[in-house]
Amino acid sequence: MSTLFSTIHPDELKMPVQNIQALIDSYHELRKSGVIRLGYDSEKQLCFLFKRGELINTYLVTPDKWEPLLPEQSSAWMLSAGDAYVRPLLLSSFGLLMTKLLIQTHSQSDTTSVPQNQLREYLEMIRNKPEATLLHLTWKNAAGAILFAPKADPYFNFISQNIVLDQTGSYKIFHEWEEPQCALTSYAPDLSVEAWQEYYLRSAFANLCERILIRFETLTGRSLVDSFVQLVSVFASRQNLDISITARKLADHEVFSSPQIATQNYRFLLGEMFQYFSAVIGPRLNTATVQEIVKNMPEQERQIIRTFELLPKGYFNE
Amino acid sequence: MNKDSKSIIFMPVMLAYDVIAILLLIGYVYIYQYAPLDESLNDTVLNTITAFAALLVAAIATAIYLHYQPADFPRKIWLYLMIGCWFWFIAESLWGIIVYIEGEVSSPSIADTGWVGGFVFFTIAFYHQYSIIYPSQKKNIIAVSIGAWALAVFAPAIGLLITRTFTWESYINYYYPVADLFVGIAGIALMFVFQGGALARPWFGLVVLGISDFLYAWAEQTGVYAWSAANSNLLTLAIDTTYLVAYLILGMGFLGHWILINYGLRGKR
Repeated sequence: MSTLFSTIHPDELKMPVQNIQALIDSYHELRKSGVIRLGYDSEKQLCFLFKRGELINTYLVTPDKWEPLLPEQSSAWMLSAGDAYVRPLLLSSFGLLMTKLLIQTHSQSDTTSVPQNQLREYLEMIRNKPEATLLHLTWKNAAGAILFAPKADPYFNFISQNIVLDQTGSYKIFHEWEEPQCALTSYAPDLSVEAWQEYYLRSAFANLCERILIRFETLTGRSLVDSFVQLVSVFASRQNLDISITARKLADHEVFSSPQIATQNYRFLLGEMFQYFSAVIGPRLNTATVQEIVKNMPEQERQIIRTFELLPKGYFNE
Repeated sequence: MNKDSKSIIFMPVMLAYDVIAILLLIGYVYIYQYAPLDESLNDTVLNTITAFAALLVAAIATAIYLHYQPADFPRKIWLYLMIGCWFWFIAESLWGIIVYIEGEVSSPSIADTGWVGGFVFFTIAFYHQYSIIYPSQKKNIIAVSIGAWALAVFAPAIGLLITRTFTWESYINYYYPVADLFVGIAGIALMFVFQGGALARPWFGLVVLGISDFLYAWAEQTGVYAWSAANSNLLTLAIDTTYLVAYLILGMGFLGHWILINYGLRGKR
């Protein structure tokens, strides 16, 4: 396990505890999303993850293990640990999920040292693998992570002293970075890890919603789907969720403190959706449609739907 | 016009339709029961009321068809439902005109081309609706559609030829109940599929229309049907009124669908 920016840069200065507390308070007050990493001489790191000002997770990370801390524990630990090297970072919800994946996943393989001029080929090779792979790349002065998933654009974070990238798409910054050697660790999905569970819940929810929308549009036409899309915003805002549908694609800007909380929220939205669809196409056809869609989803997503009982009762039929 | 101002008109639209439907029904039953006008005028007014109800249905079906965009799958369904409805409106109008001119309609008549044509287009509409619901079953749906048509067209002919009682009049009188039966079955099956959903509404009216037409065909075949309001009986009144009610229900189902696609499910907001 690792944090995205585990390296403490030589330019980082130690910050007194009261200033750290003020920084944390500013994340709350300004409703910021991102991570505050506190680094200590003991090689321990304390990571605070914020979503729109709300502290969703705190992790205590050492080179060989991690543990989640409750908010009161983390506050006490921070106060007792004293001054720390601080790296605050603003991240998107998916950037936060990537951070959680990096912290929580054990690598099955050792870290490989890859010459920078071979990195492009190396990344292309991993990108073409049929299963999802999370890579953690570190240089002396930068670090980054890329998530390659089948049928999805790569998502990456790249952090140096002056550059912070948190986005999907072209990751050429990685092979254009001018340092001779890159340390690369790869992580495979592990459904026993909470962060991966959340990742697959998120992916299953998006996949399910998009497939249902296509089917619903086929059955009812565009205008009813348009009015439904408006309702999704209403349902989501009622739950204080930043989830919407744009151009028939689900825009999920959420990250949750645990897969259980993610399930609760996704299940609520799906329940509202199914209630709407049932009112239009009838409960019988709606149930049959959802069952058919779930049957054709990737196995990992079906497994996560089954394990977390993501669908309301009666919709999962295996 | 924005969405909010548009939403203000949807209730009055349904209300206006309900008022018109009730007035048509009251006027129809009154004229049928009391025949207050000249004999031929009574029948003309009654037939005009029925044709007007068919016109309302065709107009609403057209509005629904026009609402859908070319890429919308349901547009195909409503194209054929719309054409079928216009065929039936033409048939009702021709029927009224023939009754006005000749007092009685021979069988088969030119009006039958309208009804038969309507059935053809309703079949295509059913085909598209079922194909959307069961995309992997298209071949079976085509087979069932062709089979139903073959049965409706040939079964009466074969039966009449075997019993050596074939005339075009008796053929038509047997054709309609079979065709109505198939429309009814196809409609009921769709209502079963959409059970509890708003999309069941448009098909409900078609089922009622199939049943009422079936009753008319039966009454006509058994000689119970009275051709004039002046010498009508209670059964004829019930059958003809059911026929009008069926059009009005069909129109109500279509209007409900038009409101649904224009304004969504209002209660969910």
